[in-house]
Amino acid sequence: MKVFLNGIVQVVKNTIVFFRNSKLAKVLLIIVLIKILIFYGFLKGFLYPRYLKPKWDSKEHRSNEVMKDLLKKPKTYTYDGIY
Amino acid sequence: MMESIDMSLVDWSRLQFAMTAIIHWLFIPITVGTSYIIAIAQTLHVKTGDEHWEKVAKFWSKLFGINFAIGVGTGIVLGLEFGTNWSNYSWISGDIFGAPLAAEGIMAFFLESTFIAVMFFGWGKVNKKFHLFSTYMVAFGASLSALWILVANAWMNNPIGMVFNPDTARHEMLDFWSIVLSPNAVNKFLHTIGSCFIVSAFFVIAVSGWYLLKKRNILLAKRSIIIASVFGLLSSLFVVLTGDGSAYNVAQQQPAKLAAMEGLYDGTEGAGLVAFGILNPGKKVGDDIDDFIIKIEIPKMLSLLGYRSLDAFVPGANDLVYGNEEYNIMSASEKMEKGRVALDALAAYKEAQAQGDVEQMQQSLSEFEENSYYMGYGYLHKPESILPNIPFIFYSFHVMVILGFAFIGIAALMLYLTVKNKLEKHKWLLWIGIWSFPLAVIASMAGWIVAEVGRQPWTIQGFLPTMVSTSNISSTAVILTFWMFLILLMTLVVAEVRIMYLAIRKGPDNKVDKIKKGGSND
Repeated sequence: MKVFLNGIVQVVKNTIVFFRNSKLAKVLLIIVLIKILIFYGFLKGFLYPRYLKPKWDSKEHRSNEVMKDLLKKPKTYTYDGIY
Repeated sequence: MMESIDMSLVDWSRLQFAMTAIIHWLFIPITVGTSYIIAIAQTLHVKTGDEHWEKVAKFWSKLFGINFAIGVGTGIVLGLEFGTNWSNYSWISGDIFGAPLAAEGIMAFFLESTFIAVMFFGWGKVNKKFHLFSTYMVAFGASLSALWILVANAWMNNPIGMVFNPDTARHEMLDFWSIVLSPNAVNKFLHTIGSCFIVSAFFVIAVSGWYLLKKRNILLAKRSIIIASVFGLLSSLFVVLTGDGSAYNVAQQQPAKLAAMEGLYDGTEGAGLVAFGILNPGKKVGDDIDDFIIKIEIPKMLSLLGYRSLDAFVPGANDLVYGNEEYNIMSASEKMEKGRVALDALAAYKEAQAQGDVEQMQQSLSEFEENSYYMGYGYLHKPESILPNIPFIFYSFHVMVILGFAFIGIAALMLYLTVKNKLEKHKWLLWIGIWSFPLAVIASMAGWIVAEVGRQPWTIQGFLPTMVSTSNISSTAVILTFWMFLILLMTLVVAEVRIMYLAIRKGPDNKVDKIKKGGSND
């Protein structure tokens, strides 16, 4: 167990040294961090809940809206486009 | 609530999903397949103690790392789209679709991310066998990620193990294992993973072939080609085997897709498989024009593949649209009628529920359940709508199949000439090896087109048409996010190509011990 933990500590140390010395690793790390910022911060944290996500008061509300759609669309919907 | 449906909403939602899925899929096969190639090279290093195998494993680890770092997270956009553009679908199938996706997050992603640090940074720092174990865990984790997504996708093609609850407007899961272990899910997983292996094998062959043409890193290139050509050959053969399983499943569950894949308009006993063909562009369902301008057919093969009998009847597009009494095939019009009965019964059930009329509720529910199998058909406007775009599916399928068989020959020839130490003399084959990588990507994409566009008009086969699956939002919002996602994802693709090219041009680190001393390995 001690050997295993020692190995893991070595991996962590090696990771830090690797990122210090490798230009490629730094570039990739920056790309990952920017992605986290955009995907989670901007898209998932800001844009999606405020502007994109359809709003429902409750699960029941959403269920009713979907059911309305299911029952409404056959009468109004005619799609002749190419599938 | 909108009174009529904005048609461009469906088209833009589909286009956006296709665009993001295609870009996401550019990264996946390399991650899934290359991890096994690295593991094989590392296994050879551990078994033989040969430092060159370690060098091979390290080099491909670096390219794997670039692909992983840039590609990871691109699937998040797809997850967002389920919520924004496909909220009806997400609600209706959330109970089924959510479970495999949650399983992916819990099991696969954690497995992958736990061991990936050891795989990248464990060289010389942890026990060699534990390091090798970590590499295999990353490979299994990547495959497991794919498994859960493909289980969810297989369910869309063959919705089983659930029941529709008219009170909640949701599919509720009845049997998790029947969904996970359905023949469709198992086969889809094996076929798709096999295609990932082929793409990654030809990725390795292409880069190694380029080195041989440039007369650089000869030993690394030859050893990489040996692993990749064996891996690619076995994967190509495996994909043929699982492709047979796919054909059988499609024939049983999605006959319209099979008819489109083969450009089969009039069903026949002992149907032949079109090996090569050019469809007549003017051909439409129900007319008397010839199906093909030219075709080369393998007699009776389609009947054998689809129904395990040389003389079995394979229904064509006309049989599925207009019905065929002799073979007990119901027409699309009859299905549409039953679907409308189901939808009317559902409406009557909800109305009776609102009024508290228990007797009417039971009567309507019974009528709904009797016809619910055809519910989705009730949304269709005309019988021909049950068919996907036949030329698009036909050509996509044949591009996939022709390339798939070509890969067997290319990988076998590569392997033979490498073993005979004659590969460098055959520059034409090295160029074919290089071009095989983009062709493998195209074949993989064509396979997805057959699977997804071939399922149209459905998101959930037979139950939920694509046009009913969208959200009630304006198409402007979808158009705006389409361009936003396109710019975002294309930036990542450009970064991937650029960084990958620089890393390949730079080649492997010749100072094998550098990293062991705590230095850079790029």
